[in-house]
Amino acid sequence: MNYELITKKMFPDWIRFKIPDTGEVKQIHSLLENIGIATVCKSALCPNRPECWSRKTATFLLLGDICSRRCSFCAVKKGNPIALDPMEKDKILKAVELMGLQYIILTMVTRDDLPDGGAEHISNIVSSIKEKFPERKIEVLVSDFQGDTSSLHTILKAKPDVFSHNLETVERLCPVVRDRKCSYRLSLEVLKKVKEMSAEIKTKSGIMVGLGETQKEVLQTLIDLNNVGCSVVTIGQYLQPTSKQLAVSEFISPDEFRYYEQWAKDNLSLKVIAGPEVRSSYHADFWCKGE
Amino acid sequence: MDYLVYIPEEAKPDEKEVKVQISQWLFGIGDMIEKGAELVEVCTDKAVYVITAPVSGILTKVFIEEGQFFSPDNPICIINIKEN
Repeated sequence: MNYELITKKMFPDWIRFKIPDTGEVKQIHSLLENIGIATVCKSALCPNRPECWSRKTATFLLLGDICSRRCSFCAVKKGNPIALDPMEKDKILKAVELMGLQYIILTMVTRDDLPDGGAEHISNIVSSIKEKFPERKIEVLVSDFQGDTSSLHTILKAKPDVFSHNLETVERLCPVVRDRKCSYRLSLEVLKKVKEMSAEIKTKSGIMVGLGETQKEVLQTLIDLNNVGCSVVTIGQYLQPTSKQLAVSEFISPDEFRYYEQWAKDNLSLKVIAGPEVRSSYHADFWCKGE
Repeated sequence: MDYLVYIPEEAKPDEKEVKVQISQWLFGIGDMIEKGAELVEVCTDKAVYVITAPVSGILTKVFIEEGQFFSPDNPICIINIKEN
């Protein structure tokens, strides 16, 4: 049969991720399956999983696996979200304990169908972890809650260590890349509001590159995030999850990622973590400790 | 003893519609392979992933040719484990 090498040709050398057949990753994988809990690490087939899990860091997906928004880059299922899992808190606590996690990232599908966007549910989980494991660090990577101050307050009252909300892309591409309910300015406003509501919390954001943005636009985005008090920004290569999502416009070279890191170091007060393999939660524990 | 090699469970995509393709075998039939060596490159729409050898031995059979799409539930090759 005459098969054509379709995919390999499309990728530069640096989009090549090694999946070691290690006992540790296997063990954690079955543990999570048994508890019945979803991690973005697994569902996104994240290449950094072995590294993150061995560093006792994991990202849990809360509020179900169906998102009420239809961002064109994202492979999470879209549609009518399901009822909240009342056992989710217990499952997370169990996973934190059994995996010995020291840095826990709680992310979510957007739930515009819920009056508070799911804020109370997340807040309860953060509080429970804090109560049981007071020394562990928690990052929430959440939606914009449509800018609702009350929902943001609900999240902040649980005192997560880091509040993260991704811009995902530069301003010009936002209408193409994200759902129409999302907006670049609203996301900046959310980050600004959070910082005003809680001066001690660290705020964080992330963007993907390779979607057709220019270098100038990326730098402007960093300036915008710096202006709203962001402490850290991740920049990673956009990778098309399946053929149903937006195609990659360009593979950004490792040199360009290094340039963004250095440029931010020279010109801004925020820290940039950039690289082809970088995802929102990559090395999250590192910078939170100030390393 | 023959050892059937599969894509590691934790490396399988969750989404059923994700196509997985063998892009390159890094060893040939009859080659001796050490556990942990880079065995094969597989591609999805997203990236190239390198699967490492789960055991040491001789590669005796390849089920999926380069360029072929396959179900991650099927074995991809046989490694004959060297006897000590």
